[in-house]
Amino acid sequence: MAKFTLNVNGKRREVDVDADTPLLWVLRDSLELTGTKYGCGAGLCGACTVLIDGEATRSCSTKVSTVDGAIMTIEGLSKDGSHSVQKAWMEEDVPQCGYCQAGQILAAVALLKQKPHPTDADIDEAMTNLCRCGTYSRIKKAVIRAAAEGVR
Amino acid sequence: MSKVLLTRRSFIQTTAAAGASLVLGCRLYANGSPGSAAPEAKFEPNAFIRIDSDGKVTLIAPRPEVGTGVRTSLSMLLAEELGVDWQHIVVEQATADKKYGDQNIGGSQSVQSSYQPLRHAAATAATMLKSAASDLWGVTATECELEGGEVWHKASGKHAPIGAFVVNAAAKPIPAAADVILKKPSEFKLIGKPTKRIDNLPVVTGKATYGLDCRVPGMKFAVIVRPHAFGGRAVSFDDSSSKSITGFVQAFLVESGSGGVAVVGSSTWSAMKAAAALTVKWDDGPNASLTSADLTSSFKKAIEPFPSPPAAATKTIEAVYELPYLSHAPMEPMNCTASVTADKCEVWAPTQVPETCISEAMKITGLPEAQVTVHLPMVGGGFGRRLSAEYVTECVEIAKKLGQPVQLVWTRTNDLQHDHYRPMNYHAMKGSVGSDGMHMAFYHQLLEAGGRPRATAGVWSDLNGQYTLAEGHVMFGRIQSPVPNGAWRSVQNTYLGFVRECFFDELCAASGKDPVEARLALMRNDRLKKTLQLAVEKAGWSTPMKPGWGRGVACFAGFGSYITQIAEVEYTAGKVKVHRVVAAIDCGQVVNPLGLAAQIEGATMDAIATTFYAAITIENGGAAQTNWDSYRWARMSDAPVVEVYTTSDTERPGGAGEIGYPAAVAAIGNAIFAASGKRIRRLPIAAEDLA
Repeated sequence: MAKFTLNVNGKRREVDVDADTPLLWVLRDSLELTGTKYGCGAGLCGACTVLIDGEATRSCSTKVSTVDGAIMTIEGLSKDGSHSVQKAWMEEDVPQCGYCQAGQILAAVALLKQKPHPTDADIDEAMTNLCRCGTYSRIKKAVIRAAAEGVR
Repeated sequence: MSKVLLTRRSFIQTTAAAGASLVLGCRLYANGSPGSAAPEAKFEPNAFIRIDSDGKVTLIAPRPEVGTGVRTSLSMLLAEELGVDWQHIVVEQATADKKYGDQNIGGSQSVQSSYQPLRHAAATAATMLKSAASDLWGVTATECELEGGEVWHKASGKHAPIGAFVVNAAAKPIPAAADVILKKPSEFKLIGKPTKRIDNLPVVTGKATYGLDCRVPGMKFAVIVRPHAFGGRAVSFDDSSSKSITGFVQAFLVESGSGGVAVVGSSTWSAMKAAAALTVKWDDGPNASLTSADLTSSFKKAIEPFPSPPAAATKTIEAVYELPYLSHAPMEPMNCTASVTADKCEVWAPTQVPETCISEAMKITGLPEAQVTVHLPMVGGGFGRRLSAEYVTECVEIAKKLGQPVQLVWTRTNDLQHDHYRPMNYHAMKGSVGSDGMHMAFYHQLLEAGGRPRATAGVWSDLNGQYTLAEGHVMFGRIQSPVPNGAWRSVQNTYLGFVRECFFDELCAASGKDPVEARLALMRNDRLKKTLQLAVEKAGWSTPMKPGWGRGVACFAGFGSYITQIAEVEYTAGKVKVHRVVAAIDCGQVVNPLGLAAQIEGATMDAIATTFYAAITIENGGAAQTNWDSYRWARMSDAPVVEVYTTSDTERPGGAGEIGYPAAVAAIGNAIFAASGKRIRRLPIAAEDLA
């Protein structure tokens, strides 16, 4: 066990966990931020995606001891769904079961930061998160809508 | 024709003096009352409705949300008949309870079975509100209307919010069923209108509570170290290394589900780490050497001779189709949270079968039903997986042994290796065409791995399919397999749709007939035929395609609905890309077009995933796949344009959740043939079959 100080959604949070604990479980079990989801534990599906200094990061395969930067989870994007990407997601009626969507939304935020006007090919390449319900075409539309409206 | 009986006794009315609300709880019987002698008689569920004095209308949703949009479509039915605006509707999730009747999610039934009873319940409430208003205003109740959350008497211009009448309405007698008039489809304001999910905001803000998000004070976390081989069991274990793991609590054998060793920790990670440190002595059981190849050999041995084709046959073809085990693999792995004390069992279960969860909890704890509560959190995907509740049984067993609340988490590997799979299946096909090119005969030997023997096994029987054939015969058979089977989105239609529609395409090719023309000529059902005609028009079937591109068509009738899908694919150098899939559907009255389209889009992605990537194979008696790298699924770059069109002459809704798969997978197979000349008879497609 060791103490780690994290910057999560703009707040300083201290946790006392094993150094090899994946960030995912620190968020979910220690900090009770359950918006970040477990899907595979191996960085393969992206359900656990968070932003670290704005970059999409798979928290299930990121040890807490290696985190060096500001973490943003879905809870930190906005409290009320007012972020332009969240609004686009609702406008395009993306979610089915919804379980992967927090990760998808954060992956989209990271993409739009790098490429404010992504092409279809950019989206295909950057948005590699798995959606088992198959909402991909609506995700694509939502990313394009958010790009058109400008990410806050 | 469904018949709805709404008896006074079946209503429960309560008036909360302080909170002033009208609660209409009702049990409704569709397709006959419970005592009815009709063989199709079954007990149908319904929701509870609550109307508060502030005009808020609450649907207490009896069925859990697994991603099919049931909470949205049922709310639409309620809002329609109550004449309230969409924003006044709130959904509360019911717990599992007999009083709601059948709460299961399965068989594409949710909207079909709720459509009439729920509207009737809402219209009953509307009738009572109008009656209360007419008393106050001294007007005739039948002249009153509900609109925009208000009761209106348009002749006098009087109107007031429905909340103003809830107390008086609650004191009214329940009107006779015959006095409750439902809206005609031409009067619908909400049913049939594209309506966004009622749960979108909690989902996009991360606030929606799924099974894994349930938190109970003092709870521990558990994983189960499971046998690899089906039928294997843990004999003993050594947890001395686990004891050095931070947060390790306890390890013990479990009997339920797959069996194995439960490892409990103070966090999910501590449980996973301690599980990895555990040493288990296994008895691998009787299936330890089984492989997929063994099952394929068993299939081949079980094939019987075909009958002779009709004398008029001028061309005969034979083919073998092979499809693998499939795992459901919803995004949220199986999990359950439970707390068991001497006199109370509380369970949080992401499930498709709430009642089964209650009975499993009763079985393990020995508690009576009144002391068992099963909460229904949001469910991260079902697809049929959560029709089995063994993970609930396991969790209650662990909670009972532990004496503390606990959340059982299945790892992704557990989830893929201990599913109830779409069975592996094998099809020997023989068909013939006559000199006119249309006199088709069709023989289908269908073999499934595992499951209960069929009464008709080994007997040729009438295929009774969707085409008029000179001869059509099917023979069912099963081979033994220890791999557990389950219902996977559209169940046996996953393979019947693919094999029948692809082999029909083979007969079209053998006879030189256009696949659409042959289908139109032989199709027996007019509703299905209309979907074919609509799909042909929308897809532009007869317009030429670029070299290397091809179109394929397939049709499917089932779950009370009809669908034709036309796929457009591109074949280049041994690779296939699906560009566009057009769906034309008759599912009766569409409640939510956005929800219908979502189901078809999703099922189309399932078709792509299982055409190109996904298979569970058996090695050493167990599933060989461990995660998304070995059980591959479709990604963003695989997504085609999906277009959904509807046609219908009937009001009664059909199912929508499962119809999008069977024809899609066949249409893609047929399109690949059109584009490349390669006939796809094994899924997922092997590289050599496209080379």
